[in-house]
Amino acid sequence: MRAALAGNSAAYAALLGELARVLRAQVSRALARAGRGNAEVEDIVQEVLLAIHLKRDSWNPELPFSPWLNAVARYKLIDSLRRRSGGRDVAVEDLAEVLPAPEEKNDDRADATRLIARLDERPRAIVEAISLEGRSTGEVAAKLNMSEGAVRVALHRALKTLAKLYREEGQ
Amino acid sequence: MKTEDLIRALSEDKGINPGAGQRLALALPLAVGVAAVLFFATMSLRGGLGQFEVLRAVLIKLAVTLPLAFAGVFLAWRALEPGRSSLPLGLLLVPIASLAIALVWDLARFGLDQFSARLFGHNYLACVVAIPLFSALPLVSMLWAFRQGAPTAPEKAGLLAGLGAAGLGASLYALHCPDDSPFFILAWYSLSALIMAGFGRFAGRRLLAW
Repeated sequence: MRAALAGNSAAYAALLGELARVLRAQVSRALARAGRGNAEVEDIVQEVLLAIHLKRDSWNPELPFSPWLNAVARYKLIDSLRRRSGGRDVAVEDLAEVLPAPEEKNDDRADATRLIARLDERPRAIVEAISLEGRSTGEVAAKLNMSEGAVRVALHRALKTLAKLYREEGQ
Repeated sequence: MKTEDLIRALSEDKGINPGAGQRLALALPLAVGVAAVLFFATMSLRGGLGQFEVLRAVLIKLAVTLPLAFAGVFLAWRALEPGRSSLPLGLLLVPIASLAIALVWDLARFGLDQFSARLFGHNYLACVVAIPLFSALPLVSMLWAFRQGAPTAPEKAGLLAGLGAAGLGASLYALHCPDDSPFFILAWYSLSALIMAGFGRFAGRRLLAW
């Protein structure tokens, strides 16, 4: 995280990937305990990652990272699980507990894709170009005829909007 | 969208929000300043501040309200950082202890003589209107700043901010307040603080959740 805050994208991506793995296991255990299926695992993982990312400046680099991370993850997991269980039928999935922690599956992706579709046209194009096509902010800027700074700002705003859309889902 | 795709987008995003501290340093002094202007526009400083008795009475009130302001703002601020060790809520005992000492001292001097007059004072209604009024902007400024933080207990953070704001508003009103009995403070200052704490808690749930 220290490297990430210093601007090292590769280190940051590696950290987030590692976190995603740990979270995925935690989330599926939590869902299993609640007697729910695994369909939402990836959505919840993404929501937590987004929160970690957007609130990363609330971590004080002079303190150890893991208490911060645990507190953020716990808060977001509880929040997300509670919100998602509200008003929805609990899927009866007796086998959930014996299922292995899943690798990501295709049908897990409905939520984020739907939320991205709700972004405005330009932010959506930026997020998609960077995430799906793996372009850098510089390339996106050239393609969309914007300055790189504007792309960065738009990307940051789009991610904040995405986090907000997650929170509003099912409320 | 795959999680790895999201991670790619996140790692490209270098944007960092303006910190809660930056916003607080800007907004809270401004809010207190505006509240002070509001105070001088609607009320006057208490007469006779040069006299020992009057000055002592004002200082006793400030000995309750300023520690409350400090404790509330500081604790709310600390509540913004996930994973910190538990909040030193004992700070809230400082204003309570001040008030308790004042109550004992008052009882020792006057007993229960004219208790009702001391309790209700000249104008308890002004107190419960003025303190929330002068506290409102400080609370708003704190909520605005604290939205940048990451409180894992948003309601608690809002409640503490409400208490801090009430301490600030009450410190202003104390410069005017003609009622000096600690029983008056116990009843009406506390009620005002609880009102603000309630507002803060409610607003915290809506505005500080993330």
